[in-house]
Amino acid sequence: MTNRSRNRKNSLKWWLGAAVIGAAIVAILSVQLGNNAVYFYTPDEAVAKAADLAGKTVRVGGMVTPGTVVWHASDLDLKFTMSDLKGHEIAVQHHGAPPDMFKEGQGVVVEGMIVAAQPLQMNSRKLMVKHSEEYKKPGDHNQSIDKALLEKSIFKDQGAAQ
Amino acid sequence: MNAMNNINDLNGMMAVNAWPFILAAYGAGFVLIAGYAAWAWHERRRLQKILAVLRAPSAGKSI
Amino acid sequence: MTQNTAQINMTQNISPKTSRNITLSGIALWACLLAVWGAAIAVVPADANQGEVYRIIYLHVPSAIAAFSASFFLALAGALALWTRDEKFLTWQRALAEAGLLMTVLALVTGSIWGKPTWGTWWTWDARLTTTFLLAILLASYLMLHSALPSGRQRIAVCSGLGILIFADVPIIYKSVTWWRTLHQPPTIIRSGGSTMAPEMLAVLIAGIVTMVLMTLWLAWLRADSLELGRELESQTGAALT
Repeated sequence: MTNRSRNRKNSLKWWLGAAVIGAAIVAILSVQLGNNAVYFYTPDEAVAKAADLAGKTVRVGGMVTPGTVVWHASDLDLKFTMSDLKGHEIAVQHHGAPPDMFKEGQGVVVEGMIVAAQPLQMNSRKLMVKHSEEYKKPGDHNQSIDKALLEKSIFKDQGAAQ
Repeated sequence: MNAMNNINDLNGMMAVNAWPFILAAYGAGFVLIAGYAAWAWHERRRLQKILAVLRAPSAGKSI
Repeated sequence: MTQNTAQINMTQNISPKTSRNITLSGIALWACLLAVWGAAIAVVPADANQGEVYRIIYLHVPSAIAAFSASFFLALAGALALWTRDEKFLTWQRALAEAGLLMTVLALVTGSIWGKPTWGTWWTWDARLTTTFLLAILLASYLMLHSALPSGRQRIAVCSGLGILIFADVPIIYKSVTWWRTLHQPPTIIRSGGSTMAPEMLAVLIAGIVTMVLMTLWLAWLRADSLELGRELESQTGAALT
């Protein structure tokens, strides 16, 4: 390889490297600050902003209310209610089998569209389970703080998102 | 993932077989780490051999 | 040992001891790593919430922390390079950036494999995953720049500066789950109130972390040795052989 062609190759790598850094930073910032200023809203925040959020794809995080899960395996239809444990509830409709860890009382993050404001209803496009950072042996339930950890993590800074 | 027959049976334990995921993860770990180490090792051997040739007393002065 | 090998070693000031040390420590580290993985897969109990699949944590968390530590040493080598203007620190920077990128990619891949059966998704752009992905991009960019710039003061300045900057992402990655709402769960080990992990699980996790950090440094050592050989050859022949 001649010196000149190597310099041209190296110069290209220079610019490529710098361009990749720049593009990555721009892309990542715009994705993060894109539709939502937060990764997910809490149910009370979603209720408060329901008018603003109509027609937009948003994420709402909450806990699955016991007794509200209705699952029809034949047509993969899932309905449940999630709440912030403080009275703000959202009815969710999802098509497809949920993640294995989905259950009553579990933390969930629903990505989808708000289709009705009162009472708040969402059509889920992507249903994710948010689990806690607790790891215990099976049978150690008496020492489990799983639910408390989940609540703390999901409803962090609740009400703050504008 | 397979549709569950009755979601109300779910008690939080994994219904889907976890082992393909576990093995995929550790397999990826082994391939990446061992693969890189092997490549770095062979690269080093290659350079050591070249240097050995250059440094051999019988090698010519001109390269 | 042949005469040639003795001469190589003398020329580079790299004693035969280095080769032997690299080999021995490598064997020891691989033994430790495989022991940890064996314990992770077959010895530690299953998790009450996640069942068996949580076992990926014993690879995922160590590789993430190993990536952080590589970034730390990269920044350190950057500071030393700026201070001493010595190009040999650039060799270590490159080696650490490569090992760091390897570990970051591994953390992302194992995290994704773990995320699918638990969260229900292979990926999401929450703050933890995004900032970790950014780390991979930054390390890859570092490597591109390092090989593109010709040897000299500019290269020392630019690469070392970038190396130090990259480390700024690491505390952000670590605190991301605390500062922002994320899908990724908060820290398990270092938290007020003590760890939320059963003691026998925690012991294996810590062993895995220590082993992986040392393994990363070992990979960097192996690679730096190789890169130094390349520099030696380059100075002798004027040709780039790496």
